[in-house]
Formats: sequence, structure tokens, C-alpha cells
Amino acid sequence: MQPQQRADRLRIFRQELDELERENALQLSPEQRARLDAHIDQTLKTLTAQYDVDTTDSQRQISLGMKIASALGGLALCAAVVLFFARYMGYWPTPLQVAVLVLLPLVLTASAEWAARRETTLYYTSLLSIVTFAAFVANLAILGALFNLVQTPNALAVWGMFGIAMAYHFGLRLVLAAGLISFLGWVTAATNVWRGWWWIEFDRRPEEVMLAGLVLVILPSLMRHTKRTAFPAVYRLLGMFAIFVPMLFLSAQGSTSYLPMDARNIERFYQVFGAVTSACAIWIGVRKNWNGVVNTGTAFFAIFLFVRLIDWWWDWMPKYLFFLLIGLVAIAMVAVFKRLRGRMRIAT
Amino acid sequence: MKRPWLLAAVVVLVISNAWVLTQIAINRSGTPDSDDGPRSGLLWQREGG
Repeated sequence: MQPQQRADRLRIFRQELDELERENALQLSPEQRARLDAHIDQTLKTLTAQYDVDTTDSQRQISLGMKIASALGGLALCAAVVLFFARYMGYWPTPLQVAVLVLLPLVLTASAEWAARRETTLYYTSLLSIVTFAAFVANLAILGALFNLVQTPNALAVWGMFGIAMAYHFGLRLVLAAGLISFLGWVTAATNVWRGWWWIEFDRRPEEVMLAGLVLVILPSLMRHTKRTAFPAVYRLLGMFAIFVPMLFLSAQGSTSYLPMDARNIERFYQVFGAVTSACAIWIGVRKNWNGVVNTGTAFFAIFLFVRLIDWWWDWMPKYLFFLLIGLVAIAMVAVFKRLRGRMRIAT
Repeated sequence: MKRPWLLAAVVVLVISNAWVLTQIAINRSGTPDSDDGPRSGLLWQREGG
């Protein structure tokens, strides 16, 4: 169990105990209560000292704000680094340009490690890691552009490896997402190159991205994440996006598919397949208790459904009737989910 | 090994940069039988003639 989860459980346990005593459902003797309170206080104090966990609701809110601020700050610093290079780099002698581009990611990696050793909650480390990843992307991209090297998709694989290594070292989900997105890009680009196409044409065959997305969804089931327990959700979320976004694309433009069928039939196939697959994702998410999978599956199910309804009804139906029907469909979906929740409650 | 992932990240950084710098060095040295100098170089120098 993560330290923060333990602290949350203890906080909720204490609140519930107060409630039970007020309702006269449970009465502890003053000695028992004092002993329990002392134990909880001591455990929370130890967790706070070791892991800097939040022990109150207001602390949790502030921590959330700090997480958002560190992510936004990291992105802003990335923009600052890139714009600084764009503005001043042309005035520098070439050896200095090369030295800065090569050394900056190394220095930033060392800084992130230095910050990680001095803090337990990794806000500054997260910020520095995002900037490090961006600096490494800028490093290879600008060096290549500067010396007119042939563009290669393998840079995406290298960025992916770097992002994943940094993410597993520091335990940062945003950097893991950046690394996995780079890998998804590389899979598509590499298959394009093998087929003799220009590697940047990501929309030529969207099914390759779907296959890579499927691998991402399955991977956490094959790899155990005992230490990085939040990482499987990132794999599944990105995998599902990599499956459903190309599916949406193919449901509108079937000519880019590998399937040996007429383009119109391919579009029909993906319209049905998208809705069925997202419904299956919801079912699997409910069974496995994966909240992210349920939410993403629901979002894509709604998108597939509403895109179809717009396609079928928008042109010929009065607009007030169209929106009325959309509202009724939404109500029907709420009813279905309510029944599903009821069944889950019975099952548990 | 104490920090394998950090080591992996640094190795990726170093090897990829070494590879890119080697490519730049090869390209800038030109080929012995070429009559138009280096095959690539600084873009603005080549464009400026």
C-alpha cells in the first residue's frame, strides 16, 4: 500500500469512528480511545516525516495545486528553453551551440536526481524531468536541423527509451506518458519506412497505431508494477486512446484501412466495432475495478454513439427533436449505468 | 546495481549524442572523390554559397 493511501485510510477511519460513537453503534472506553488516537497520531507523524504525506483535506487540496503547478511550470519552462534557443542560438559560434545542446539534458538529468534526493514528494523533480525530456528532444532535433542530417524516425524510439527510463527512475506518470507517446510515434513511423513511405505520414495506415495501442493495454498485465502502482493506468489510458482515436478516424475515412473491403463497408465496420469495443472496455473496467478504463471507455462509447446519431439524423430531423433525442439517449445511458452499479453492489 | 533506470537514461543520452556527432563528423569531412565539398554542413553556410 502507498503511504498516502494508508494516511487517507487512517483519516477516514477516525472520521467514521467519531460518527459511529455519535450514533452509539460503537463505544470505546476512554483508555482504548486514547490508545487508538495515540497510535493513529504516531503512525501519521511517521508517514509525514518519511514520505511527506497529506493528513488533512486542505493539505490534499494544496498538494493537488502543487502537482498542477509543477506540471504547468514544467511545460512553461520547456517553452522558455525552446524560445530562448530560437532567439539567441544563431548568434553563438557553432561549437558553443553543439556544447549547449549536448550538455543541457545531461545537466538537467543530474539536477533532477539532485532534487529527488532532497525532497520526498518530487514536485521539483517532476518539473525538472519534464524540462529534461524536452531538452533531450530539442537536443537531437536541433542538432539534426543545424547540420542538415537526414530525418529519422529512430529519434522517436530514443526519446521513448529516455522518457521511460526517467519515468521508472523517478516514478513520474507525465514523463512516462511522454515516453510512451514517442514509442507509439516510432512504431507508426518505422512501419511506414518499411513500406517505403515517408515516415511522417502518420495517417496513411491508422491500424498500426491501434495495434501498438493494444500492446500498451496488454503490457501492464504481463509486467508487474509492484513499486510503480500508478503506471499501469497510464499504459491503459494511452493504449485506449491509441486504439479508439484511429478507430474514429477509420469510421469516417475507410480508404486508409488494411481491411480488404470496400471503403464504405470499412467505415460501417469501424462504426459498429468502435461502439462494441468501447462497451467491452467498460465491462472489463467494471470487472477489474479499473476506473480509468471505465471512464475512457464511456467517453469513447458516447463519442461513437453521438457521431453516429449526428450522421443519421442531423440533416433531415428538426434540430429541437434531434437534441431531445440526444437528451433521451443520455438519460437511457444513465439508467443503464445505474443498473450496472446496482449489480456491482449486489456482486460485492 | 543501485539506480539502473537512471543509468539507462544517461546511456541513452550519451550514445544517441555520440551517434549524432559521429554522423555530423562523417558528413562534414566529405568524400574523397567528391568535387562539391562536404555532403552536408551548416545549412546557412551552404545556402549562402
